[in-house]
Amino acid sequence: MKEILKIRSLKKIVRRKPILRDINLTLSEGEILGLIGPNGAGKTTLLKIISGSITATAGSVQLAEPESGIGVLPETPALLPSLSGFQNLQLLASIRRKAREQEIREAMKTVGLDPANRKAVGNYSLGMKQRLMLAQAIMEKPKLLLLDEPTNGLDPLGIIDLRQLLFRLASQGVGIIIASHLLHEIELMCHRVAIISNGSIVREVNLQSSEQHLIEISVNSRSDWDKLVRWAGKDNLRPLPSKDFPRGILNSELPVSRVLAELLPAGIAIESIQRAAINLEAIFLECSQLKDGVYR
Amino acid sequence: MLTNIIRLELKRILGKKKLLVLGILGIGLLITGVVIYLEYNTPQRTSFEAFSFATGYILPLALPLLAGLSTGDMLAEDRHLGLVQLFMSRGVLPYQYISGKAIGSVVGQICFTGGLLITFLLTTFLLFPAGPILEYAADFAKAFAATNPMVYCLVLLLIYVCAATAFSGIALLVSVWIENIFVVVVTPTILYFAALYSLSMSLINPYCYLALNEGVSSSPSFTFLKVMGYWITISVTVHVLAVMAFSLKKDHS
Ligand SMILES: Nc1ncnc2c1ncn2[C@@H]1O[C@H](COP(=O)(O)OP(=O)(O)O)[C@@H](O)[C@H]1O
Ligand SMILES: [Mg+2]
Repeated sequence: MKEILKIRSLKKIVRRKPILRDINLTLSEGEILGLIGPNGAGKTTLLKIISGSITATAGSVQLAEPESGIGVLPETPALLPSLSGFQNLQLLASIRRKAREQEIREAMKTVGLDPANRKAVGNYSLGMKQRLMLAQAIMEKPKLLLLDEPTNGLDPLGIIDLRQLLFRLASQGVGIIIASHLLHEIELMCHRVAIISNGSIVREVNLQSSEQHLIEISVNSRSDWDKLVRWAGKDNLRPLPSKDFPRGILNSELPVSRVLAELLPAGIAIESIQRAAINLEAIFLECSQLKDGVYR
Repeated sequence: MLTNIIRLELKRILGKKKLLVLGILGIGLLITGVVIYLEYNTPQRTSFEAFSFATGYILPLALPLLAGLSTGDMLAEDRHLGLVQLFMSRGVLPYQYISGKAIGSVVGQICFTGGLLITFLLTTFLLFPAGPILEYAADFAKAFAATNPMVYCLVLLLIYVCAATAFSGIALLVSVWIENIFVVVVTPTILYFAALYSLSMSLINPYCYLALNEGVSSSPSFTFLKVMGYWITISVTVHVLAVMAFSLKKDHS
């Protein structure tokens, strides 16, 4: 996959206080990267540096296609309250003259807004403003999208729409960074997660289950379990506590279908088998613990 | 890109309903000045004299606030709404962005204050016959105003427009650092009155240059140029400073 963004040794110091310390990050075409961390971790600052409205103290941000622009969804909607939604987008589009009226209308329809709605944006609900901001971010068809807390103010339907839109854009090759403090949201939307704490990226986690080697499996009886252990090897099978069927985590590079195809002829009665989900919450808690054991 | 930005800013500032409201307010204030004019004696009541009297009575007090309110908040508004980031992410450079604001501030004031005073001048034509200004003109230009009342009024108009751009520029400069719209809008007024009281009648007291409180020593045309030069110098300085300060700033949102 082609890299569209490369951040190297990025630092930001404001009034002698380090806000970002040595951030290294890359983003590929079509990738959705989650930036997760507690409030004040530096997510917004990092996105603002990438979008160019804040200058880094040191380090570099390289865009593969700077001329294609960056779509930005700020933390809070930035709109002129007296204008209609369409007029707001028209005004922003006149900066680069890249999106024509037709494209503005399409972007509004994509996010579920009516381009013909004359209502002033000041009277919009927060969710509608957020949808309009999303429209301005995508209307010029940028190759890079930066979304800061995108589900702020969105209703459940809006969140589902957003997720589908992001998946579609990613499949068209758009690279997307989502900053959020909501674990579950990130888990559902992102291919990869960078956990940011106190201005540093403390961990990167790949959420794509295809690259995930853990399979959760349960079998009918103890004897099935013993056969399973013999098949897998003791080191590759970690038992889990269970109240009925023996259960464990299998570490295997084989796809689930191959594992099944090998176990069934061996006469092992399988009760359930599935890819084990990555427990982002556990990783996050582990990362946000301070040395003295106090959660930040 | 720069032309796009300038066009956008001009369209934005001139399309503001706020300007219309402030214009009506300004006309209202100036009409109050005309009412006061009626209580004063004069050998001949004329439209030009009404214009000279009312503007000289009202604007040295109200112009800084009118200018601040009408176009002084352009940058503060964007910063408050968070729009700056949306410009920068579209590849607009800080100097391009702030240049659009500076030009918007100057052109906006030319249109707002110029439009306000032309409208007011036309209004006085409805109320009084045209004629010489015999009584209420600046001391240094009494004779000039009596013989060339129309030109005198147009010169006044130019001076007020230049002063208004200076006040708007001060607000723009302040908003490079201050985001609070209210503070930004009233700063020109506060600085003006602070200067008025602290500088008393010294050479750089802005009140002297707005109320045309000049001696009668020099010729009218020289004094006019001096007054206009005073305001243009301030206006250019603060706008250039605003462009430089914003361009050199590291963080723009
Ligand atoms: N302009 C600024 N001046 C000083 N400190 C700032 C500024 N902007 C952000 N900070 C500080 O930087 C840290 C990171 O802020 P931010 O990037 O908004 O975090 P997040 O988006 O992860 O919640 C916070 O401690 C915040 O107080
Ligand atoms: Mg934030």
